[in-house]
Amino acid sequence: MQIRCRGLQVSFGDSVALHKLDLDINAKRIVLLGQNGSGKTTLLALLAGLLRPTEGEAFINGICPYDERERSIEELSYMFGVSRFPYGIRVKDFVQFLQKSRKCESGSIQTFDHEILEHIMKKKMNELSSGETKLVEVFNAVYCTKGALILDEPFAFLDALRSAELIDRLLKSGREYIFSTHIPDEAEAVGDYFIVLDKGEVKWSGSLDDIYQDGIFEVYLNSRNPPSFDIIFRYGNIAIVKSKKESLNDSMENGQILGFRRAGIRRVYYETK
Amino acid sequence: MGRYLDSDAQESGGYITKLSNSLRWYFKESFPHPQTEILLIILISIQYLSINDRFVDPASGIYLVSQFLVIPSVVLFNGLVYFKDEEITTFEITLIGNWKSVAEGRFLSLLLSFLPFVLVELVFFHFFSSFIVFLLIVMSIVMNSAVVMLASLVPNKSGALMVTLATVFLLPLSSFVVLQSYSSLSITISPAMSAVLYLFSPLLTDSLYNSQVVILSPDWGLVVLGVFAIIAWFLYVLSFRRQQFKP
Repeated sequence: MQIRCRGLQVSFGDSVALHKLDLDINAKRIVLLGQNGSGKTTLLALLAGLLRPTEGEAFINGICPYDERERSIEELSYMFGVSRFPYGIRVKDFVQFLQKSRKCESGSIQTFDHEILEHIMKKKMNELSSGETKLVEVFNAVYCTKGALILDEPFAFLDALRSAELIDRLLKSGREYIFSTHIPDEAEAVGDYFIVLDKGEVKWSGSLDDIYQDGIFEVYLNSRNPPSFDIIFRYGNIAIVKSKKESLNDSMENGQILGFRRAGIRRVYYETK
Repeated sequence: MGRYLDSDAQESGGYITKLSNSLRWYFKESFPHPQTEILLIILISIQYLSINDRFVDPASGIYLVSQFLVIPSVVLFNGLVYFKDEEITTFEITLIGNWKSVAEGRFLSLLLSFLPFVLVELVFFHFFSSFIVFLLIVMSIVMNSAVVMLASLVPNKSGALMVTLATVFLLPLSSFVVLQSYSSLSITISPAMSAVLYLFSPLLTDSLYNSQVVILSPDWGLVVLGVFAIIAWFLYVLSFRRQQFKP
C-alpha cells in the first residue's frame, strides 16, 4: 500500500485535526497509533475519501480518494465505527444480501467466511451488542471485496478470542491495510509499519525492526515481589526497563519478574508521550 | 477508442447492477412498514369520508384532506426512514460500493414505497372522475420526496426535520392562506405566483382554477412540480456525492 501526503491539513473551525502532515509510505500492513484526538480517524476518513483536506493533498495507491470517490470505493474498502444499526432485518438476511450482490468475482479475496457470524445469524441487526455490531462491520468491509482495507479500530469491543481469530484470518488473507488501534499488542500482531500521531502530527514512524531495539525490555512484574531495578515507565504490571538480558534472567529466577521481552509499541508510546 | 468504449460499457453495466443492489438493500431493510400501512388505511378512509360529508362541498373536502393531511403524512412517514446518521451512510457506501447508487437507490426506493398508496388513489380518483387531481397528488409526492431526500443530507437532524416539516406542512398552509386572501378579494393571481402556489399547494390551487382567481391551468402545475422535482433530485444526488463525513 502506497500512501503519500503533502502538507495535509484538516481543520474543523478553529480546531486543527491534522497539521501539515507529510507521509511517504510503502508498506503492506500499516498501523496508526496515537492518543484520543490525535487525528487517526480523521486521517483514515481522508484516505477513504469521506473527507476533503483544508490544505494539501493525499494519495492512496495512486488514487486521490476525495477527488475520485467512485474510483476509490471500487479500489478500497473501509469501516468506521457504527454504534448501533437501525435495521430490523436479521444478520442472516444481511449475509444473504452480500452473497448475492458481491458474487466473489475473480480478484476478490474472500478473507472471512460467513461462519464468523454463525452465532448471531438469527439475531436482528438492531439488537446486536457493540462487539457483534463491530463483527458485522468488519465482515462488510472484508467479505468478497478487493483492494486495500481501511479499518478504524476494527477489533474494539471484541473479546480476546474473537479478535485473535480475526487477526489470524486477516494475516492469512495477505491483504494490505491501514489499521488504527490503541492496543499495543494488537498493533504489533497486525502491523509491519507503524505511525504514531500526536495532535495531528507524525510523532514517530518506523518498522518493527526500528521498534525492537536491544537493551530496552518490557517486563511483566510480580506484584507480590517488587523489583529492585529502575523502571522507565509502567503500564500496570508491565514495565519498560533498560537492562541486560542476563540480569533480567536472574530477576526472573529470583521471582521478581514473571517474564520479559524486547520492548515494542509501549516503548514508542512512552518515548513519544 | 475501443478500449474506452468497452470500459464505459462495463462501467455503466456495473452501475446498473449496483443500483439494483442498492434498491434491493433499501427494500430489504426498510420495508414493509406495518405502522405506515396502518396509517395509509386510516388516511384513505378519512379521504373517503371527506367525500361523503354532506355538510361541506365534496370537492373542497377532499382537496383539504388530501393536501393538509394525506400527502404530508404519507411523505413524512415514508421519508423519515432515510434520515440516517453519517456512520450508517458510510456503512452503506461500503456495502453497496458506489456513492451514486446509494443516493439514487434511496430516492427510488422512497418513490417505490408510495406505490401501494398511489394505486389505491388511482382507483379512488377513477371513481371520483378527477384524473388531474390524481396526477397532482402523485407529482406533489414526487416533488416533496425529492425535497425530503435533500433535507436528509442536512448534518443536523433537527434542522433536517425542520426543513421537511416546513416543506410538507407549513408551506402548503401558508399557500392556502394566500389563496384564500386572493379569493376573498376576487383578485386574479399572476401566472408566476400561481406557479409558486401550484408548487406548495397544488390541490387547493387547482380547486380555484376556472374561478377567475387562478388562471394557470393544472397542466402547468404538473410541469412546475415536475421541473422542481428534477432540480431537487439533481441537487440531492450532487450534494450526496459531495458531502463530507467526520467519523
